[in-house]
Amino acid sequence: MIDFLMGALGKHAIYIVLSYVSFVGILGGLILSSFIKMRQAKRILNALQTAHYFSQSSEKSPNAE
Amino acid sequence: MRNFFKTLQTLSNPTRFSALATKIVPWLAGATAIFFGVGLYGAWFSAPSDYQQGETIRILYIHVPAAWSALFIYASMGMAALGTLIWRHPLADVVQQVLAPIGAAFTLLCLITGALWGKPMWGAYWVWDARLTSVFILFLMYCSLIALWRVIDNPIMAARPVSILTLLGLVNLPIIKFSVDWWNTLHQPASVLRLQGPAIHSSQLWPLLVMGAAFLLLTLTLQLINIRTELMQRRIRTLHLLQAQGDKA
Repeated sequence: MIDFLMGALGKHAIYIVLSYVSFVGILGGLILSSFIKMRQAKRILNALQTAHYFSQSSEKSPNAE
Repeated sequence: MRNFFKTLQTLSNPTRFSALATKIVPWLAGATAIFFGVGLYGAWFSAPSDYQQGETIRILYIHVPAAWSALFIYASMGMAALGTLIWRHPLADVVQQVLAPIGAAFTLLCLITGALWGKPMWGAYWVWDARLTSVFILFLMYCSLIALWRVIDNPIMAARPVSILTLLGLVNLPIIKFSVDWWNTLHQPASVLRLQGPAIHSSQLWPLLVMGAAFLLLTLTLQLINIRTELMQRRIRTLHLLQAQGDKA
């Protein structure tokens, strides 16, 4: 693998590969963390809004039973 | 100009903004993927290698767009800081808050790829050259802003000091841009954004510009997603407060 990269990219292959690995890692991390945070916030907000709705109304929460 | 302010006013309603963001995000994400695909194809298979730098020129296609994005994001944060301090736009501080980590990530990417490019070309990963040092200061500015948002619990209270610090940091942007002209630096002078026109061949320029557009689209996509998330988190905080007040009563 290293020989193949050295053949294709020259003697500085390792620097090029590491650059693209950091590109994928940093941008991938940024995208993943954004989606995970959004999903978490959505889940918590839905749960809280349901709890808030049932605390305000006379209706019983299905979770209360 | 009048229409611009009217649009800003319309978007100040968080519910309306979230609804619009939900519609736009899939299109932006699709466009980002297409631009990255075309840009990376150009960078790897279409652009020729450099006669001096050889294949290491491929690092250019992520290093330069990351640097452009880092500067663009900070400038946008400066505009949002003005929005917070002068117009008190309800979304301006949210924009600042979500842009800081994205800008920090792009600056970090620029520094890492710069170091990896510097080693084979200059013989050193790092030198305390004016351009490198000013970009490192930009990274520290981003980190300070993120820290300030986290130190102050209430984001509405944090918005004012963060805006002032952001505006102070704007001084660094022209220093970064012109550092290669003002001082003798190891870093090469500007070769794309200059008055005489780009100094690099079109076969290497187009993938660079496409990658620049891809980074910009990614910034916009992540910004909209994170603004929605932050608005939800603020709503969660309010509901927690309401719950705590209800429990007290």
